[in-house]
Amino acid sequence: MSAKVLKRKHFQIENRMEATGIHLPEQIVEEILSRLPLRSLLRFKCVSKIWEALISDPYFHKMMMHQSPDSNSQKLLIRKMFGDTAPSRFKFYSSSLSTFEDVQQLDPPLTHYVGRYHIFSSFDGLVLLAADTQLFLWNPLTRETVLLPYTEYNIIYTSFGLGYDDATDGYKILKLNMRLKHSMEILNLKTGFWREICNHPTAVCPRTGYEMELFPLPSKHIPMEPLVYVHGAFHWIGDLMLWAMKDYGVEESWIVLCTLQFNGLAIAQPRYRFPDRELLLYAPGESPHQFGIPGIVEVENISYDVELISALVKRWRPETHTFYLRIGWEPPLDCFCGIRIILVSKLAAYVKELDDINDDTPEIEVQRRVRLYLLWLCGGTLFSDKFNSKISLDYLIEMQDLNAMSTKAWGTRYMFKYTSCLYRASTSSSNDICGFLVLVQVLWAWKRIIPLQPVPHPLGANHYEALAPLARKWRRGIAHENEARNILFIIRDVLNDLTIEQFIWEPYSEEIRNELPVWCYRGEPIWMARAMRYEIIYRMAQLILRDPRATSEMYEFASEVAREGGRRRSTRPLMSTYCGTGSLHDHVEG
Amino acid sequence: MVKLKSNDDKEFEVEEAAVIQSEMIKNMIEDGCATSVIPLPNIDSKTLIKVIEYLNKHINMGKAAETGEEDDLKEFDEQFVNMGWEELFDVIMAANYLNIHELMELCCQSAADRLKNKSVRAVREMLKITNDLTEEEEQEIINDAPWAFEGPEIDDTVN
Repeated sequence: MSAKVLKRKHFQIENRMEATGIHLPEQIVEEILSRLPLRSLLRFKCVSKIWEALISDPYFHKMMMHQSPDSNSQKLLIRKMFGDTAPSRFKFYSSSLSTFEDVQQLDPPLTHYVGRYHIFSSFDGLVLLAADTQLFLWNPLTRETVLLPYTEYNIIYTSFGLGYDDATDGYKILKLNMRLKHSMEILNLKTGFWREICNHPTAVCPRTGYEMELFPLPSKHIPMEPLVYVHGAFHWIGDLMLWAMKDYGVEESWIVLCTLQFNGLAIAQPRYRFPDRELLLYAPGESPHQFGIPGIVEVENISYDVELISALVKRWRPETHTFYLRIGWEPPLDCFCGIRIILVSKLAAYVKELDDINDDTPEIEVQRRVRLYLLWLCGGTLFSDKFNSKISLDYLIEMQDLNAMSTKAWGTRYMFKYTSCLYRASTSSSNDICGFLVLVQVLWAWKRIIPLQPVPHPLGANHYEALAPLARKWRRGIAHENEARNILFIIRDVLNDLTIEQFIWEPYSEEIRNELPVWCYRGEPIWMARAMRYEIIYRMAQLILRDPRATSEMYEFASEVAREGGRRRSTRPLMSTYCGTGSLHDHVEG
Repeated sequence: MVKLKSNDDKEFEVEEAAVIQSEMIKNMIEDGCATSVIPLPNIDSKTLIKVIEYLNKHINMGKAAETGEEDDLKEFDEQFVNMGWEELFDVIMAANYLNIHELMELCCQSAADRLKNKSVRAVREMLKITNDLTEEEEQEIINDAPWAFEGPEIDDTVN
């Protein structure tokens, strides 16, 4: 003990324990106090002035912090979401790392209402959290919080890591932005300023031999996950390799710790690295979210406006797979990013059962319910037909392996079904239409054509809908006062007389798109791909070639496109792999 | 054998193997300053007897692990720290002076364990500390972390 060199200011207070002849130097009192839990320490501040001064001394804090942590004091922080409970839907728990019996509920970090808490990172017993849009640090033990300087971020594309820099002897927060332009920023808690850092880590890709930039989870398929700071470095999993950043901004300091082998585990996130080099990984189980369908659950049920759909079907041009309006053609297909979240469900009962699934539910039961749900969803809602909603064998085959199913671009696939339904309804003498028509009504008409748009009730004071599907606003209640509805000829008039000001070309603004959860973007490369638009142009070309009225100019262009098409057929197998079995083309052909 | 002399002029003979657990005496022996009696002006004979008892028991620390006497040693430690506050603090002071790391650890941990769940009033009474905080100051500390002052485990007794 006396071998320790104690550099510190000495207290001015005469340091004696009174009246007994027990004379304890502050050094020894400190030695004893440092073995006490925080709760006792905060209480013992009240014992005397000397004790208060000792316990409040920053040197003492540091001494406590650098004591070797034993595994009993290490805790796992758990965030759990509930129904509507005050002051927040989120509750926090701490759990021992060695057993699962010692779970304690924590007081919420903030006392006011918070719509959504997000845990980014934790280090040294401090937790980096976001409450809605405000970043703050939380010490669950002392129940203290500190708000951090504002920085713009988006939960889906931004990740934060909290670490301690020995060189400057202070906490730092690393911010990684994965949207549009990748960027890294560092907040030094001592100065309180964000600073951008420019050198990114790189590594040689083992497969291609190219040098590539390294970022945590550089894939849109996996949500951004917290950076974990242990052993003086940030850690994450990228491409199933565990990376560690040894030192801020030093390129050579990025190392691969180990390569992980997973069996069908799509997402696994590092949570903790034990001193004996064991890793604690978190792998969320199968859930509706993994299939990209939670939007359906959230939008629920919107009643059809039959007249509206009839009027729209009339305007469907099968040649181009678009609606024709006086102001021009339907905007190109890149507006499809909403597809995954606009879909609607009548499946309240089943969804409730899905909600009942908890950590104790046997795997077989979870699978059973998810499958039941998917059956309903595909057979009854998305891919319905005019024959009593029997489900196509194609989809059943897809459902054999739920993991594989979740990797398919169902949004894209549904778009083919949707266009083929409209194609049949508009060309044949059929009086019926099948398919998931809420898409026509809500996604297409309500969102884009202002005179047809009902007014949703405004958001309540305590509601938070940033991550909810756009169409969900019409679930809050609708004021039908100003829009044309239910009467066929009025709707037709609206469509006939539509002006350019009455049409919203891009309902999904960049702002809204940034708010969308990651699963909305799955398959985006596919529906954004030229290949799909090309299918449409190719079909148009075929029609023009067969049309005797085509001018020679049109004919030339069309035959060029058709020739190109012969060469580009090879794009088809690619699309088929994304869209599942080879039924893609059949759908297009209608 | 090494001779130790307490502040009340009593001499004790201790095996060198035992006494070198004290960093201070080990250094003295290595420097050749321990040829005759080592005077320990800070330690009275009652405390020194306790310390020597501990040193003799822990003389074969390494061996104990091999021969399965660990439990035995643990029991001894438990018995050893079973003493009054004043005595305990005397041993801590001696251990600190002699720089016996293990003993320091044992006694400080024991002291911490005894204090851990005590109420403020109980701590003051046990350690005979006079409260020199004003009522306002005290209330301020309580207001900073009220949760630390309430709970079923807080013990107001002084034993």
